Amino acid sequence: MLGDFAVGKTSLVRRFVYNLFDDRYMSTVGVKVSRKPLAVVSGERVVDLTMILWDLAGSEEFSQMRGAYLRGAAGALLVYDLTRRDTLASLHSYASQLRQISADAALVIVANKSDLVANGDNGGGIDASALDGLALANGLGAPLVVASALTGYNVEDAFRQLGQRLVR
Amino acid sequence: MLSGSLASDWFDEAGGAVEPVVVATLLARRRVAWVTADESLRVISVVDATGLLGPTSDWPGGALLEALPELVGSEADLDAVFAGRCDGLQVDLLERANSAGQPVYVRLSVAAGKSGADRALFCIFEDVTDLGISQQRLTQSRNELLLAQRSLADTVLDLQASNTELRRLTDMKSVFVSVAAHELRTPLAVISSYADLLAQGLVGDLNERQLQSLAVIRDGADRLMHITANLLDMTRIEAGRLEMVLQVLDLGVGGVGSRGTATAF
Repeated sequence: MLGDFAVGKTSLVRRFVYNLFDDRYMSTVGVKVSRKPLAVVSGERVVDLTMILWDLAGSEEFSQMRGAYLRGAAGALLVYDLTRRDTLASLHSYASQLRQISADAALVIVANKSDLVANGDNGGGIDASALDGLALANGLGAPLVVASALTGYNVEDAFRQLGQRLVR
Repeated sequence: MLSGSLASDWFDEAGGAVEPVVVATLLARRRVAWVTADESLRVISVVDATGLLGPTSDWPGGALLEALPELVGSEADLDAVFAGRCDGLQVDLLERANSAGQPVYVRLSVAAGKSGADRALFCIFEDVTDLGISQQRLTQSRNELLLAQRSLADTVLDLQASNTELRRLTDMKSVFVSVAAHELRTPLAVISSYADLLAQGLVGDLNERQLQSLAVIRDGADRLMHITANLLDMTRIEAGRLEMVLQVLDLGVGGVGSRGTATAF
């Protein structure tokens, strides 16, 4: 899980793994590893995966550490906050940092907090910030998933898309 | 994973062997647990007196990576550590749950060494929860401050936009009031003029009651004229175009206040 602080990385993992949400913001320090089994369809077969999710601190002071944690990563969810456009701009550097370490890493861009933007709450609407995310996703050859950890909207889909790219 | 110098360096600096009592004292003071694994990454044993690692009873004999998912993806590094090609690995500030289900922060170090007669991999966990909590509070405060700063900056931008809009609306209102006041003055002047003509008998004689009614009309027209003058002054004040006319006034001689504040102008 990569992205700036307070974009909702921990909340996405918590929603995906435990189907829980807590609206109190708690900064992550260091790293927290979670595990989640997931069956994904690849072509005509169903593949059972166990995703090992590394929830990394988004804060600047952990950027040195982050590079070390990325070793061995097969893929990443690059998360930004639809209400804070600057968090989208940061995803370029996260993507390049990961691809320097793991050139073939699968990526999925997640535009989180869709519940906070107009037309975004579970209606599938797309706002200007999501359009910018789409442009970034196209540039990186990754899908964009507009999601909300609060409502659960598209959260599993984001992880599932990552899983499908991992088993290709 | 971070490569780094491990305890072997410290032992060397300490002058060789470390007395068991020293180790026991340190381990008792600092909550430490470790997992031993063989070359094929099977767990041999777990030592965890304080429940730092959570439930571990089913770990021995199982896969190390199943027990410690934090090491998934580091298989090549573990192989290098076991073979002695690498001093060790370290992960700082790893958040886990202890046996009571409470979150704890641990530092994980991986090193290789003798376990009985065989070489083994040691995954050593140190409880650094106090450090982690302090770090978390510091980071939390810093992040909340940054979020508040950004929110404040957004609010300032919104306020600036509101002020610009407010200024535009105020200008529109001033223009409207100015135009309305000017437009009112023309018919008022006509009313006043014709009232004067009537009062002077230039368009025929009027009886006493008619003259009294005319005086009321004239008085109302005068008051309206003062109001329009005030409105125009107000628009001039708002536009910063009010010209002050300073002159000596004898306050002892009638006039001021005789018809309220309107005559003071």
